[in-house]
Amino acid sequence: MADYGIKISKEGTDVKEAITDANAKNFQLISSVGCLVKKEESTSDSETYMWWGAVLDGTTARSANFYPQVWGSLVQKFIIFANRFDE
Amino acid sequence: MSNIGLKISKPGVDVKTATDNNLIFSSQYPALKIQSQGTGTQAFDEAGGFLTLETHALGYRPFFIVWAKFPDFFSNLFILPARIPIVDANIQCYATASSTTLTLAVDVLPDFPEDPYEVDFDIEYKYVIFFDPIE
Repeated sequence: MADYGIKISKEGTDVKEAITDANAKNFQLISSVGCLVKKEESTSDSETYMWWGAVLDGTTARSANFYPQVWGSLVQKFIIFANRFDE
Repeated sequence: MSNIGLKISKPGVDVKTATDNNLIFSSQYPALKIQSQGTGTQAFDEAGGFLTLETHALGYRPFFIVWAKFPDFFSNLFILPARIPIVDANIQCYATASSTTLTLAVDVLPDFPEDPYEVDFDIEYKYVIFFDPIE
């Protein structure tokens, strides 16, 4: 692992600690590992980028777990992350 | 909370007074740090079943997201959990995380359980595991 970068630890954790699977959760930010980063909002999901979606039915936003035909013409909204599935 | 840290605001917003929703980054909150990710395809039948997507050594239940495609029935990608309608049945698909594994679970729920029901299908899955614990 490179000896440069940015690490921000949680309170109570020495930021100089070497990062391991066991202690990574004790850091707010580690520049040497990827983080989920919002890229854009969209009306369609993606095969390339990770995403989260919802169906807007006027009063609620429901998880976009169902085939679009089930929801007819209701608006589907997706948050597309900058993280790719194939990385 | 300590009064030290790093904040980055959206363009046009004073970082010294910006509310949380106008921040692009704040060290006050942990970023979702990716521990691992993967993709694959697995065949299932009417019996459903379980598939270990990944074995990890975190020692706690991590936050995760799993997406799945059911190419025999639909062309789009679903985020799990999902209930997929097929002819005369529903496929119930979800994922579970333990302190050592991320597992895909599949149940096939026939509309008429009393009748013999057979179906073969593939699931194309994509997943990401974060260092950030659920617990």
